[in-house]
Amino acid sequence: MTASSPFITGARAALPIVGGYLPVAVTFGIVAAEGGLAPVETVAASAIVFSGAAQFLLVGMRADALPATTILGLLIAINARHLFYGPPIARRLPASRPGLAPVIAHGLTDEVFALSLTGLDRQPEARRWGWFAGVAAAAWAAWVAGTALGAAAGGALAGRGAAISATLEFALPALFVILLMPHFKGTVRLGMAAAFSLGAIAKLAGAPNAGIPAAAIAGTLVWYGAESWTRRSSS
Amino acid sequence: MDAPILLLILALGLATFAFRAVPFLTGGRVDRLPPRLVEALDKLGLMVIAAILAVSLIPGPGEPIGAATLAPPLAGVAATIAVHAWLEKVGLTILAGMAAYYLATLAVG
Repeated sequence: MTASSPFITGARAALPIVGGYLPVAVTFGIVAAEGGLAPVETVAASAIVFSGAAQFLLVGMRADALPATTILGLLIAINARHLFYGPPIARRLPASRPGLAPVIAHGLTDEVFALSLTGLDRQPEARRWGWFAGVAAAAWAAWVAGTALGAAAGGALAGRGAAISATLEFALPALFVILLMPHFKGTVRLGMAAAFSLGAIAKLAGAPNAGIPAAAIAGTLVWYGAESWTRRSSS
Repeated sequence: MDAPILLLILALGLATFAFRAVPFLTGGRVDRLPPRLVEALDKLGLMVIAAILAVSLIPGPGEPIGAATLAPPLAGVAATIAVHAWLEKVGLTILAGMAAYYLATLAVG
């Protein structure tokens, strides 16, 4: 493979994704170790699922002892958004190598989608499959390697006292705050406030298991109602 | 090793893989679903995160509500928001939030 092969060019183009993934993946490894996942389970989650938000939520919901069917149902609904990343990418790839598609599709995360949407158009058609494979493989490798590092670090830090343990557990809420901050505006803010408030009430009432899905669905309905009302008012 | 968690990971991985791969196999025909449904699924993810955040931060019915249980998460969230608004670096922000949480734990403990 030469230095100018499309695969290598794609892997180089993915460097910003790699830089962004590594610290988050390390954090996931630490949080998962703190949440009781064995290192092999933690790395398997990153290698097989390869979806950061879903993986963090999986650890969080498992820590809250939600039933497995509830966890799976919610996470599948959340990851259904990936269904809409494929079409614009598929349209940019020549049809000559369709057999590769399902394999490469595993790397189609939010960030890989965003980079490929513009990056593929700048590649000659014959190089697009290789370029996309390079982007996806680099992103996946960074995510899995970072997770392994984090799982090892988390295992080493575990059992060092209650304050350290509680502090490590705080990595998860901190990440959730970071994920929510850019979206905390407009009608989405109303939905988030409703979901947070109902989640808090459910926790205070001692029913977080039922509370999380109910609060999330209620928050989505609040957003939907507010958004519909806003669009009607402005039209 | 915990078989249920591995099964959960496998099932979620399979479903996520199917969502990613199907459009490639169907020639991109799945993007004709109502845009509002697509948007709602996207928002559902944010709402799950908001609900779990509340459950992570709020003390349970058996825990005392006071400085010892409220100060660390409040300090941690405040530091997380401030540092992320300033630097927009995920790794550094999480470290700052954890540091504030730890210092507040020591201060009130």
